[in-house]
Amino acid sequence: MGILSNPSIGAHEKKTKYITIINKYSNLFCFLLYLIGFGWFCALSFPQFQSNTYFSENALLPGLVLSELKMDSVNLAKTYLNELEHERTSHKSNIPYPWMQAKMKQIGLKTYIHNFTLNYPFGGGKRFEGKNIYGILRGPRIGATESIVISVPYRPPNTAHTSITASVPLILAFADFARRQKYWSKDIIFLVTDQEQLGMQAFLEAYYGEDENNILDSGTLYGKAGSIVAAINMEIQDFDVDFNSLKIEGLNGQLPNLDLHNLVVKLSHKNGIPIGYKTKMSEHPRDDVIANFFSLLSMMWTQSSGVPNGNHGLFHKYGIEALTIEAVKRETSVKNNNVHHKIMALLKIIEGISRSLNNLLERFHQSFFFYVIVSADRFISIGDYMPSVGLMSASLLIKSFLLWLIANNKNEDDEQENENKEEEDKIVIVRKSKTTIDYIKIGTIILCSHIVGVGALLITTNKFIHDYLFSMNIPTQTGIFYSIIFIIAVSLLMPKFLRLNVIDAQYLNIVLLIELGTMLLSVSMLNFSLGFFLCVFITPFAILINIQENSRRNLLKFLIRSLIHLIIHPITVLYGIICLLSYIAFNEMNFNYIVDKSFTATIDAITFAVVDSLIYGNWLFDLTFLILLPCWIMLWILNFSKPIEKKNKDKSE
Amino acid sequence: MNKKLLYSLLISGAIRYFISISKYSRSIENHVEISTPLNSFKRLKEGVFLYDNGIDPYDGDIFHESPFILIAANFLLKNFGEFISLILIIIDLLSAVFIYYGSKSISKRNYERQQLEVSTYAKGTEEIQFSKSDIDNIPFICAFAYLFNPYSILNCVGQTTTVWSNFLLSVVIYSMSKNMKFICLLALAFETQKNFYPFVLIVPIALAFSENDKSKNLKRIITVVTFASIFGLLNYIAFTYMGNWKFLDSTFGFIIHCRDLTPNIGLFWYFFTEMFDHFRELFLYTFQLNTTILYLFPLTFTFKESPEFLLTILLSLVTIFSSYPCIGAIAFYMSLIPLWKRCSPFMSHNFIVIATFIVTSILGPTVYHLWMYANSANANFYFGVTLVFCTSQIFLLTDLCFAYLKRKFCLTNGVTFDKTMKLSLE
Repeated sequence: MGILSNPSIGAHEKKTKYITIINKYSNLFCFLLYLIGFGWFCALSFPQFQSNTYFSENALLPGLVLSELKMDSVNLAKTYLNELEHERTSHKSNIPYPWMQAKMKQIGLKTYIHNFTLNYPFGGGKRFEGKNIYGILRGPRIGATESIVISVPYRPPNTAHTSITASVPLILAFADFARRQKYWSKDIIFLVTDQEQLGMQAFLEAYYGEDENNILDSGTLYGKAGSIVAAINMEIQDFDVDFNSLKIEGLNGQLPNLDLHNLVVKLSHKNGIPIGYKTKMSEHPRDDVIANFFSLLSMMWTQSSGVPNGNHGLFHKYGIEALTIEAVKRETSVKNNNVHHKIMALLKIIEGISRSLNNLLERFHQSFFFYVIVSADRFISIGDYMPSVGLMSASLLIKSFLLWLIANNKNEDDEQENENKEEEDKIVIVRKSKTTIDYIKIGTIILCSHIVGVGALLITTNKFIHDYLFSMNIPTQTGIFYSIIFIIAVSLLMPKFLRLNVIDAQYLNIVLLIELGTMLLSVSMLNFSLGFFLCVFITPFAILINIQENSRRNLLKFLIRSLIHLIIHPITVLYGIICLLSYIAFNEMNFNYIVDKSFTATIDAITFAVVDSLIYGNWLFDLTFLILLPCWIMLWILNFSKPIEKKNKDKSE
Repeated sequence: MNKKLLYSLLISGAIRYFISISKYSRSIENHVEISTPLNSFKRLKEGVFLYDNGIDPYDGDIFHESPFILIAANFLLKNFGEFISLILIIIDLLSAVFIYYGSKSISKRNYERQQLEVSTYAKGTEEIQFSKSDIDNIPFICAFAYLFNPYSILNCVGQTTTVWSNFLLSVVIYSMSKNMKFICLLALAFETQKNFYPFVLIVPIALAFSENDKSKNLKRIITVVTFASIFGLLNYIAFTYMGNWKFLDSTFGFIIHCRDLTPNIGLFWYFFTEMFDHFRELFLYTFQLNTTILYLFPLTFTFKESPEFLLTILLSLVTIFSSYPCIGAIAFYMSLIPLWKRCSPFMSHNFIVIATFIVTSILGPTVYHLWMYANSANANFYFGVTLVFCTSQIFLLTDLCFAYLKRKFCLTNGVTFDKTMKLSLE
């Protein structure tokens, strides 16, 4: 029974024995937990802790079918490319719809055009329009219940991104081949999207009939296939492929099923195109721990922002497994005679993937959904990486528990001094508590700091405010900048109005630690990378901040602490990260110039985050304002907590 | 009425109203933690629609409310369709009022009982005795705990019929404390017809009604028999309305056999998804015995001098272990715990329990989202979290029981002991 509830009455006695020890070592213990968590993560870069990828889903049967592709498909792809290049000279800024529609119809696909409109949330109702074009190949063997998507983003000649003109001819050549086969038991949707991710988002919203988003008017689809099982997004830079690069990180850090990733890797290898992760051609050796570590970090860095790094990322939200294959162009200028061979390989990869997906009897459900890729054939699964985040966020919860023990027993100890000396050898189980905790004030502070967070979110995302700013002729960026300055000012001024004494502050600290711990745990469930980076950054500050020290009035210490607080303000951190990134990217530039540029870049980043949150449903921005900022405000208030005046107390006695 | 209570009612009513008109109300309504097959508003509407079109809603597997709720909902949805959320808010606030007055007279009774025994108490136990001010303090804390509990707010916004069953339970508590026998038994009969499990509450009620009587056993038997006959009569009335007995299987049968294995915060669904069919009956009855009468008798003999405490414990037990638990019902038993405020110095798991409640309440919906919408996590994640949630509730419950017993012991033996003395209730 002792586990559930210790029935012995003298339980208090034991507790007080340990309390001094706890008081002394609590920070050390929690920090140790943090270090173990971090060490655990570092240890994951050793190959002993990584697993080799393998296939869980037997139905995929990767690469077992005999390829039926002939040379005429390759020639067709080349012809299409030549025709498209010609069309692109007259369609500088849009998709050559007539050509594409004609080709799709000629191949025998049911072809449709999908219109969508973006009512830009900033700038007084500007509208942007776009058109996707897609063709459906009906699976001859079964009714339209399930489908596969093969998609391609179309980039017009005047785009700022890398040109990927060869993608459309490739999938059209494949469509021509696929239409003549009779084994398809799933529909195949060949989709060419306009306006990068916006077109994809509009297509998916229209496909699943979501109409709540009034910023992106996703229009109607005039033809639909069955529910989408998986999607492959192609970005072919040129037919003269050097290697294939896989992009898997999706919206809010979701990842496709590892089986799909393995499938693509295996087929790419089989057809003689090397596959690299993160546009790195050469695979590092298995035992290179440092390279492993940086490869881990580089994937997690992309994942943590929650912004998809390709069109595939938007599928994940709807429970569709998707990834992007980026065929990277060979850099050397030497003409390669082997292009035909490369086209054939690419087509075979698409054929192999489609046929494997065609074999699927149920949706992807085996293998892993939570993993971190080290290299194309090695990964770390959730069971292996979760303990590191678990330890780090548990250290916050444990710290709050220890603080609670200390706070409760401290009150008792203070009172014990006043008790008669006679009772020294007695145990008093219940005492009258003299110190009262101002719960209402603590509650007010928690409420107020969260209200500031909600207010900040409303100010930056509210349409009326943006419309008002537009009518005042203030550009959106500046408007958002001012509202953020306003929020920072409010948060800095909070301690002026709400101050706690040290004892109450202790309890606020407990609440704060619980909130942070809970937040970190659930964030790392949703998006491990983001959770991990937040843990690494937040936990040491949250653990090492000790309010009791405030009682000693030491101006220098106080100033240093305030400075640290200002440095860890979410906006400062964002600015710092952008500074660092731009320093790494343009390290030949003048330092002052970078600092200056980073400032505008920060404002731009915030604006993009607002747009991301409104259109795609990325919750990083909301998380920052709803939880991180309020937590920071509470920390800031804790920093200003008043010491208790002991003198008055002594006098009254 | 108390001014503080009035303000609390207004504020929490406003919170409920504003959340229910916001865009989040629909997704709140669809959460499995809030809506179960037994209380979901969607199913209620469906049942009413079927009934309205002359189809017996109990024929299918959608509707599991009692016939009285069907008839009442039919009337309300037809005549006051737009005001349903307002009506539910008012009912929820009324429950808080009944909790307030119920706990007021319970505190008063506790205080009076204590006055009779106070001469036998040890010195220095004032801190754990009920004081006069508790009669005003405790009821407010109870009502406050109901009004501002996020669980009850979400329950009310989700428009579940648990709002109604919380109201019935609050009436049961109020009328029990005021000794209004008929109303108490009637409310309990209605509640039993809706949720089945609360029938165990007849034990503390029978104990409470026989407290000042000479022939206690006779009185108790009369109470139980009256309850049984009211309950039978209600079912008969329902039969005459519906024209057949199908509703019995569709409500009680549905609860006892746990036919719907939709995930919820309880312990049944995961277990019975995995179960081999020919063992199902055995484990089903074991589980149901565990929920209803396994603890009933031991607890009754332990706490028979305080029927109100027994009621708190039994209500929590049936809520935790029922086949379709929801957070609305949890909110209700939580609001009764402040009644035993004087036991709190003996409760040693407060922090762990509260922290676990917070963590699991956030983590649960997160992993559910990953499982259902993102298609990446699976049932084990969610069940793991709900298991921890249930464990923390059980911790709370056992802690409360032990605290009550320890307090009782300390009242007569004092709170100071020699260090050399080894004291243990083990």
